Amino acid sequence: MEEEYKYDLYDYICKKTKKTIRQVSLEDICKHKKILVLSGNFGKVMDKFFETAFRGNIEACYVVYRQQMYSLLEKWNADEKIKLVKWEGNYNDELKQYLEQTLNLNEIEAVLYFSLQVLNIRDINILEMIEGLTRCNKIETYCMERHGDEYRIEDINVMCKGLKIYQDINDFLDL
Amino acid sequence: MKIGILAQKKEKYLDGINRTTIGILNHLLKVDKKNKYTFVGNTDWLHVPMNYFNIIPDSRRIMDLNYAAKFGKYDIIHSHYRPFEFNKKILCKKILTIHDLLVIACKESKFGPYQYFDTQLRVCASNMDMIITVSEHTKKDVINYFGINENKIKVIYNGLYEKQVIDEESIHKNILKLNQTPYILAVSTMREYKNIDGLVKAFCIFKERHQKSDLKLILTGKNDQSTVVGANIKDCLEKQKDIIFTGFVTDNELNWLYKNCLASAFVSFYEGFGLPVLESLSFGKTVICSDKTSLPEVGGEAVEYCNPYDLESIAYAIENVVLNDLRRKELEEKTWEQAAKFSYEKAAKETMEVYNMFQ
Repeated sequence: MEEEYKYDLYDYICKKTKKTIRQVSLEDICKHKKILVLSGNFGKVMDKFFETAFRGNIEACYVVYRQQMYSLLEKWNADEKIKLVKWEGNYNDELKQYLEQTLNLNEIEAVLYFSLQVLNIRDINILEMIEGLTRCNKIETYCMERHGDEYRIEDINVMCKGLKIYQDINDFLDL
Repeated sequence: MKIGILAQKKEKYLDGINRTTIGILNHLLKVDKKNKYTFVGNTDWLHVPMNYFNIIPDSRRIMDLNYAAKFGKYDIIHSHYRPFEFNKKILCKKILTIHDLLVIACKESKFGPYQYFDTQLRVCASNMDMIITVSEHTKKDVINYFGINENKIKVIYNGLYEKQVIDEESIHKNILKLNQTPYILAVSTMREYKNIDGLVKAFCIFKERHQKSDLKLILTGKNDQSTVVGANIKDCLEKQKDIIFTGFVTDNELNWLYKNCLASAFVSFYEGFGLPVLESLSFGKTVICSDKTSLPEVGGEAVEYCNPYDLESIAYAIENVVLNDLRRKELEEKTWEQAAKFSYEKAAKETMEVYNMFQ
């Protein structure tokens, strides 16, 4: 006897995770007045963001960076347009705690990070960290891809869980 | 058999690897009526009419394909670029195409993502049932650097897209103007191993020796002065006004540039294949060509070779092609025959033969 219905949970996880992202414009990101930027090694994409952001009415732009990324930010730091937050560790829960102690997160409207592609197992740690920040504060999450597309993560909780479960299934099948 | 083609990375402008993948897949779908093909992962941006199996991409690690391999019921999974793995107990064959081992050959690539990619590629290659390389040279690299048995490696050369009719009306006026004087075309990025600085400096030597020459050097792409190469050629560009960067060009404009050039130049230190050489030959234009790595396999006897590490050698090759009409014509006569040795139809048939080995 065959099953009455076939339901592919894995496919459902992939689809539900993909549904958490929505493509937006750079202007959509830059309409926020106070933004936290988690910098990456994506100089051209970051320049594109800062150029647009500083043409608008941005009031505060906090940029988390590692020393090796300073050269990418130097020109934007020259007239103190951005407020640099140096962090030499990973983008994980420790950074979340540090940001909670250092910044007034109630003021932050949006957090932006950079990635090769918005849906990416590689970003689990950074997404979990952002998810922690957004849990207690009303903060929108955005991602700029290396090749220029911008996305809003509409449900970061679902996205984090989706990525994690997806990875766990594959890890389980490896046993 | 059911064959899964691993999704490629998303790109705004398709690079050489994505283009070759599209070329081979489109012809495979035409010539192979027996096997069934799907993408492993969404690859809409490649515009190849194939269904896909859902996965979530991972830009860092070796792609973990346990679920796809086990429940996708694939006989073969073939990646045209990304390293991948799955549980050895899963009965599915693994094929990886390796385009080059750039990380080993070029110092500039030994940092950042390339080093990581090298490690993953090495691990992945050792677990493959078959490896496809795009040249004999890359095959040798894979044998020498990764210690892979040569019987596990098949060389399948890249091909060329069918040429579209050039639409002059949609070509930017600044590009159309280039037709007024003879020019050498260089299609390349500004990465160090491409040796654009060597070409620019050799061109300056040529112009100093032949001051009445109205020859121009046309480089596609942007002069990115933030790069090492950009800094290296800054002085040359200030002195020499006959070197022109076009900025981004469309495929149509690129075809026009090839069609109207006197010859092209490709003096790279390292290539896994060398698609611009083949493109130039397909327009009947010879190439001032590096004699290193895979390039002699593509250029055959239809190009003027030079040593890319020696500026005098590059300058001499420019002189031979530009000033010696007889030599240039002699090379041009061989271009069509050499270009005809490479096609995606041939590549698709050879790829199908590799798949059928696992029946």
